[in-house]
Amino acid sequence: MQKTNLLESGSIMKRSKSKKTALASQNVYDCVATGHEDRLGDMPDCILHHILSFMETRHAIRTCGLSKRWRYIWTSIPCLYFNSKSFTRLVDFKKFVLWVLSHRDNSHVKVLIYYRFGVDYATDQYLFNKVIEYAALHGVQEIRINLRAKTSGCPPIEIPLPLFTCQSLKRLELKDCHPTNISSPFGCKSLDTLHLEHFSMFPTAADFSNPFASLSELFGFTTLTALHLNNFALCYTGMECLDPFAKCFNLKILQLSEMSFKSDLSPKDFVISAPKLSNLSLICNRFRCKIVVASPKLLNFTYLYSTPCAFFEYSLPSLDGLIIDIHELPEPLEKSHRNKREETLHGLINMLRGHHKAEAVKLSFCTVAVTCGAAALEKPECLSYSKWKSLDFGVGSTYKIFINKLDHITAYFRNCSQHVDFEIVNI
Amino acid sequence: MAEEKSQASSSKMLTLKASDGVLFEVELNIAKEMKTVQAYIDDCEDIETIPIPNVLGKHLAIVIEYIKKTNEEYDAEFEKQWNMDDLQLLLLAANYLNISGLQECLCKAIAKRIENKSPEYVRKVFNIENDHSPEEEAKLRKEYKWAFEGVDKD
Repeated sequence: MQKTNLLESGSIMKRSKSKKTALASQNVYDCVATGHEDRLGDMPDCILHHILSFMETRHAIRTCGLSKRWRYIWTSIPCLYFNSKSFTRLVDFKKFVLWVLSHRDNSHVKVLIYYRFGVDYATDQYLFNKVIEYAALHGVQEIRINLRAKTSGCPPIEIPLPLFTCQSLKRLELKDCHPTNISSPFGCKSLDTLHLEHFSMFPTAADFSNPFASLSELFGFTTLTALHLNNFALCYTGMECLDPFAKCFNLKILQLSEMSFKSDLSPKDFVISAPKLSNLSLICNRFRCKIVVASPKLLNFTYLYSTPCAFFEYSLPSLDGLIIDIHELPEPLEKSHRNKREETLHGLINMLRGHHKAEAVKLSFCTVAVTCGAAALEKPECLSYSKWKSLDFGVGSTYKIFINKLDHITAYFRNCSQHVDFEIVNI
Repeated sequence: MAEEKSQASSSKMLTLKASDGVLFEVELNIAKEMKTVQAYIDDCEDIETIPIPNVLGKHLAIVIEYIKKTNEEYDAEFEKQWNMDDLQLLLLAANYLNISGLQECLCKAIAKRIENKSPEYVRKVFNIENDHSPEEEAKLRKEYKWAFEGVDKD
């Protein structure tokens, strides 16, 4: 019978496949239970590395002094975690990083975390290059960078080329980074997950038609399965309809938060049409344009807003099984915002209008409290919910307070539905 | 002997037997989260009771509970309940049973508890014997001087 070797997957035991024998064991557990053994020391290096990879490298290195066995364990931790905040002086941080790179053994680096918070917002290009080069040479799979840079008024930064040519890189997170090398000829070829926060793009003068184009070029939109963009100020001139994710053939998860278009430079329609997208989150964006949700495979849509958006439109072949989750930030709206409330209601109704072909719709939202107070409910004949069999309301914590207003909404929908068996299920 | 067994899909139950004899009946999909158990099932299809000789009943109970409840909120609170001994034993169990989510959660928890502590503290907690001579130790402290700055009080 073949022996199954579970060592690679982290298990410390080998076991044989016979029906008669129990799972064979080294029975580390027995000696551990007596409390006399060096428990952590008895664990194999791979587990120790796993533990140490959750600490800053500076702390992990301290284990070298624990005992002889621990002397060199730190040299092959598959994670490098450099945080300049742990150092009193940046020059010490630099010396430390370079020292670690030269004293580490040659094993793989799975994760690189590099947080350098410069005093004057300048970054250290030399150090940045060294770290990225080292990681790329050692098969890095995940890189997280925060340079705390500003959008203007600080020296230019270049993202080192090895980051783009690294074949092993799967996950990338860049925060507070405003690089100047947007016109690099290379782009990432195998990125799976991309997370950009407060990252500015400098589209070439000729290409304002799609502010996402330079991102796409740099990071390879077609390979991504998850994309998170946060805190971008976009410029857009040109055609009316912007559909930046149409070529994201593998994208399953998209999150846009705190995005806005600069002053008048915004499109008329912002279309989200990634062909395989199943999870969409729009959180606290300041879009004034119409958002068209046109992703055919969408299953979950989360919408958290602080200022109401003008309109939503759905352009989807089927809404079966789509869950929409709408939340407003828990701040009371003033009376002067009444018009905006009605706008929100229109947006809401438009959303629901798109559901008329589904059989069961689940809506979970806290805005029921806000929107059903508005007088401008549309006449039922404008809408046809003929196929709706049930409408699930999962309301948030405001449900109990506004229970009388919930009746307005339920009555409204009951009028709309032409299905005799239509039922409204409250959660 | 080969009786046709009806295969109820998700409600099939399995019995796990801990090292101290305690029995746990779990749903198949819960048991499958333990990749070690999954592999065992793959090998021996007809088995109903799977022996887990390396894990005490009390720890197996905790592990099963984790698999059932795990989510971000639960994970955040989970590790706070256990002392260092239990954390280590749970980690050994999670590693043996090959449950990657639990192993990750426990490694993080242990790391958090030892990260800025002195070597003396860490040795005490894990019962590590210091076999460095005083000269070796002094040499290490000198070479790695930045590593020993700014350590938390024990």
